[in-house]
Amino acid sequence: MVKRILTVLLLITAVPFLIAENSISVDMELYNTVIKTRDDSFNPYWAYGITGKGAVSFKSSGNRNVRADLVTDITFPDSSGIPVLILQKAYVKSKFPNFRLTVGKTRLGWGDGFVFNSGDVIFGSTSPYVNLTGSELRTETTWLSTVNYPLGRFSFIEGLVTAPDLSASGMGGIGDSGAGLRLYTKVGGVKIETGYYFNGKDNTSYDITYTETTEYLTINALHRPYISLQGNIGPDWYLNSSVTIPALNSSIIESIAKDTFNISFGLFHIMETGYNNSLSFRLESIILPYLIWDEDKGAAGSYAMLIYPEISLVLGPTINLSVRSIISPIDYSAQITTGFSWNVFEGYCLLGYTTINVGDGNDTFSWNKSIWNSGTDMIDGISLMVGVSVIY
Amino acid sequence: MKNKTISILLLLFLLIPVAAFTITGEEIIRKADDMQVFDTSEASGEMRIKDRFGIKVSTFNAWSRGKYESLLEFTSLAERGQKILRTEDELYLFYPDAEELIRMQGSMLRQSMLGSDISYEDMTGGKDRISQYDVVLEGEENINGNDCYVLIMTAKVRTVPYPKEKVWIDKKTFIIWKAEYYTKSDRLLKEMETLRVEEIGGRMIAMESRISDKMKTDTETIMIINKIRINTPLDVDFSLDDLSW
Repeated sequence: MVKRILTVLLLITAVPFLIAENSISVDMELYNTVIKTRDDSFNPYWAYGITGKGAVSFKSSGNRNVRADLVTDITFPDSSGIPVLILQKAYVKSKFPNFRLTVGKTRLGWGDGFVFNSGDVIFGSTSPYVNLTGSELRTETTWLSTVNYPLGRFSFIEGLVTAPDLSASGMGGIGDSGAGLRLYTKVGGVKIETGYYFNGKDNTSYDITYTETTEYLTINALHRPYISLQGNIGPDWYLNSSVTIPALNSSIIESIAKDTFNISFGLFHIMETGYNNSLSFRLESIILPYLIWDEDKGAAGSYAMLIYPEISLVLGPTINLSVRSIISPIDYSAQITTGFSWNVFEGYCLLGYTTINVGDGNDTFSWNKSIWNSGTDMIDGISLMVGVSVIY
Repeated sequence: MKNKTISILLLLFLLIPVAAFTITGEEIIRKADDMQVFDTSEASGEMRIKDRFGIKVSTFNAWSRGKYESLLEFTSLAERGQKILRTEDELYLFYPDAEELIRMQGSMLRQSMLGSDISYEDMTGGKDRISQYDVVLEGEENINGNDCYVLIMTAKVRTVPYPKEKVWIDKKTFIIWKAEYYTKSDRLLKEMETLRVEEIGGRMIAMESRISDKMKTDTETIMIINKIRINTPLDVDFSLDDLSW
């Protein structure tokens, strides 16, 4: 808490100095939110409140060879009921004659995919639990250093080192760091991207379902190779695949590799519909072929296939209507989000979202959850949000 | 027989100068398109989208090389840092918040840019209207003191945004002073007017133009070029490195 206050004070006192060489922007979304949730006794009830998030960005300007950005996000409330301040980005990029260097906390987009991206071996974009109300769905950042070296106009090679999670001393063990390399190029009409990421510490618990007995394991060091292709066959298409291989000499290597082998693919097409309107379609899917293909109580989140369809209708220059859904076809459950945005004034939009979960209590998505985690769960089946976004 | 031969020769003599100096619709369009293509260009400008709720302004920097290569960077607050790299048949987008390169092809090129009346293709050049339209030279008219050819362009393919266009092209400079965009059933959808031109580096360049939506009242897009340099060396190479910087 003290650290948070100090961070805020530091930012406030730094503002006058930052103004001279920076552009400052504030991006804010505020919603009237109605949700079906649970009380302390786990009884369902309808709740109402103002929720939202804000981001303050300090971007550098003036130097053509150096770019920097400091972004703090404030989300309110989270499941604890208090606003949460996060240092979302803090990076410096520098452009040298033959290469580019990035140091700090930021995001790195490996692979292709809007919701499901098997190529995203750094942050992971395979989970079905995604908030579909944002314009960007995967926004996680990490502390990293990258060197980007161009190999011609449409190819490059990129080296990466990620810092370990901070410990009480303020730094992590060097053995817990991550490192990776990717190659991005184009062959004919197809983009080919391939890479490898080594993660020295990973706190994911792996549910080993390939073995006869289910085991939950936490594995520290992991190798993650991936490949990502993209092209056009009328619609734009993309295909990614990756696998996680534990860096240990053990009989469970094969099991882990099979459980984590995943393929994601997608199609995107946009077409004009009548005068000044456009309709876009996106269909993505992720398949983990060695996970569970039959419906099984308690297996929510471990099924072998998920599908993400999206239809978006843009009416004229200012109105956007969308339907997005994450479908778990194996347990016949889905999360469906309808969205509305109207860009009324410069930098100002009216927004509305409805999210409905369809499924039984034990399914990946459910209207009435069988097990309610009061620390993390907020929405039990449905949420309605109507609000505004502004950038200034 | 002799009289007949003389008559034919006389007719040919009269026709030769006409044929030699007659310009076709295709040639006019080709020259007008060529006027919009530079070896290189570097520009900054703004797009003002007006509707009944007010004006939304997007500012940008743009670079181009030849007919197909261009790079566009938005500098206005809401879109700051978003970039579009256009090659002959591809479009790359860069979103700085996501640090993500997105490669797109096909239909995306024809979509409206930032909700304006201008498509990515319009903005980033690379048009080849001769292969897309049948062109008929309909006549001549004077637009705001400028003698113009009047041409009717009818789409040969379905991949163009408007099935029919009527354009007024300056007879001397080949600047497009006015254009009207129609449906197949001749319903007027949009109108473009060039409001201001400047001679830069020996070329006439449209510095300000207005696109009005004829289906709605009080909506228009004003495109303004504030600064432009043409045919000078660039420090961008239209590469992914330039896009993601």
